[in-house]
Amino acid sequence: MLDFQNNTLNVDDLPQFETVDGHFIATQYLKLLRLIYIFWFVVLSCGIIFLHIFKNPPFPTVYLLTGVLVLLFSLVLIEIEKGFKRRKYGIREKDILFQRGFFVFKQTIVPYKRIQHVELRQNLIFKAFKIFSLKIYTAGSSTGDLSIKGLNQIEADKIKAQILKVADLDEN
Amino acid sequence: MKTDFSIPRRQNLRGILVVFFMDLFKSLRQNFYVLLPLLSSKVRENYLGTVVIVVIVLLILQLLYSYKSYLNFKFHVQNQRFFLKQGVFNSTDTDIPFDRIQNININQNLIQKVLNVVGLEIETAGQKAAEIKIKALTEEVAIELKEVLLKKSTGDQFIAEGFVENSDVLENDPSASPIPQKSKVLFKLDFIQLLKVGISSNYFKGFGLVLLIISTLFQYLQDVFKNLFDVDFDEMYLSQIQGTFAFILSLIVLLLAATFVVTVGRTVFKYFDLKVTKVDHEYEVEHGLLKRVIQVIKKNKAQVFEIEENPIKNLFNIRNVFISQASSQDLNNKKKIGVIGITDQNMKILFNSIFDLSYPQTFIKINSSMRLIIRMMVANIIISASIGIAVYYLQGLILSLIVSIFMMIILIFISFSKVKKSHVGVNEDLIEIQSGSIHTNRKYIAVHKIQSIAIERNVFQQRNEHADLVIYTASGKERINYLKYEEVLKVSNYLNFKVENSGLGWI
Repeated sequence: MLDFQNNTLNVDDLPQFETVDGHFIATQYLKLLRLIYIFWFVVLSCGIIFLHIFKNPPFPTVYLLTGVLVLLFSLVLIEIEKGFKRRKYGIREKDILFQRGFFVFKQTIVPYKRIQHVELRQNLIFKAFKIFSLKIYTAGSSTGDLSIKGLNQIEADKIKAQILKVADLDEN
Repeated sequence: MKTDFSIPRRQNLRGILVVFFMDLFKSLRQNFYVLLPLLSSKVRENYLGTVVIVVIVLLILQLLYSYKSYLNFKFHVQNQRFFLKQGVFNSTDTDIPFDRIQNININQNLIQKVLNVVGLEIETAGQKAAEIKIKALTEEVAIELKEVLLKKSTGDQFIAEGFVENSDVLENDPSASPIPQKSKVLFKLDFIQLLKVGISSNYFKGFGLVLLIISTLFQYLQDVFKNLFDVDFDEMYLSQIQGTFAFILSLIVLLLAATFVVTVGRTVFKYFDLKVTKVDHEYEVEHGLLKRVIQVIKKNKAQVFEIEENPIKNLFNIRNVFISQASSQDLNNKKKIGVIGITDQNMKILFNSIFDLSYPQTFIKINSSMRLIIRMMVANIIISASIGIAVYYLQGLILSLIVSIFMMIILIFISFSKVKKSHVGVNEDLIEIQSGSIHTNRKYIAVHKIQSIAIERNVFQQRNEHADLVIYTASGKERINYLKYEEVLKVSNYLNFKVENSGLGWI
């Protein structure tokens, strides 16, 4: 058991990130994910049907491909539907939290202090759904950077403002 | 003698040759297979004249290119900035403010050694594109330039500090600026020690390298022979293999010997004449036989301090220390500064100078759970099974069973010791991350240098209350697998609290 003896602070009194109530991502993002999912499903299914009819490859190929695709798509479907409820971000006084994932649940904590810069992005599809993706860069390796996709305008601005406010305080 | 860096100047005239030879070797290395047809006498007889002419023309073009690139390469120093103009077909202008300069490395490869010049590299924080390489300077000029670039940036700080407190610091500045360079050799690695390091190093990499070399060489030769001399290797090879068990045995012995030579050789070439010098508060590490590399360890830039030991190293009483510094690229082994084959005492001095703490620190440790072995077993089973299947097709059932069971036992043993050694330790100032199987690898990170923390749990871990902890630093990430979730939460909250309340920066 952890026991920080001879220590001025008690670990149980520290702010606990796991108790923070997170905010959900905008539901438009779930719609977008479903749309992309259906798009790929249609494209790849058509591909297999095309292969089966026109090329007629040796016996097990088509069945094997279909099996792999069905497996893959059902896994992705579970990840999207179940995982979306777990996509949450939390803003605290000194750091930002983000969690996601069904099969691999990942919680990340980035202190505002260590943030190098923030980027608000919106590509064409995101624009159609009126959502943004917020990318937070640290000096750490790129997998440690946060990328919160599917925020609406108000939320994105709020987070950005909070980060900038703390960064300003830090400099003074 | 002082060189005036304020007017644009070129590299040393010998720079033409340096650029020429460096580019030549580079293109030779990339295109050496073009020369393979020359092995056949038929090609030689018919096309020798053409080949010679083409080669000469290419060489002349290369030389012209080198000359032009030498002419266009101009640098100067002005207003606390370093300016560089370069490029043959499209010109590039770079300018770097002194305060962005992180590090200056002076190094010398074989070509530069022969021509008696040195190369100078300017490293900056952040932008990858802004890294500058000057290929040919005389040693005096390089050292002067280094001093100019570094002195100005420290001088700047003097003024900035003095500005707040007291303006007469400015007058004292000239006396303070000729840096009192107290350089003291801390440690030198002699050849015997170096051999010991080589002998006690990890042979797996060397083995892989040997296999790679042999397989590519074999394939090339096979292709060439097949095409030019109509010899089919496969038939010869197979007929031989069946006959002689001694042949296989000698092949294995040869492979092992080659591995030994390659491994020891690599260490010797890379770390020849390793020297650690203390200059003021920094350490300069210098090593290399063909390519002399000088790297500077800066206290604030250092992120991870890594100690490597294994049973043979313990026997020789030596340790390897690797220090990773903040870098714009993701960390690869090249960016690690290696101080190898040092004694415990020197290791403690280094540790102390980086962290301001004495070496054996006490930590509150959290061990990886034995469940981790289940995850490793998946990979183990796949490896042993595929080797077993391969052997089955070549030699039959019995041998295949023996080999795969043997493999399995070794892999289980390795996994077991891996799990046993894996732990993370925390105290007031440092994190200790231990890993390794037969060898032991301990990484130390100052708590305030953490960039961010992540906790990962896969479906199984979500059910059995375990988690993987990932700690990101400016020189890469460290992962500790399969810890108790409850304890991971505590550690993360603690570390996070420490980072957010520490006044110290990561650089």
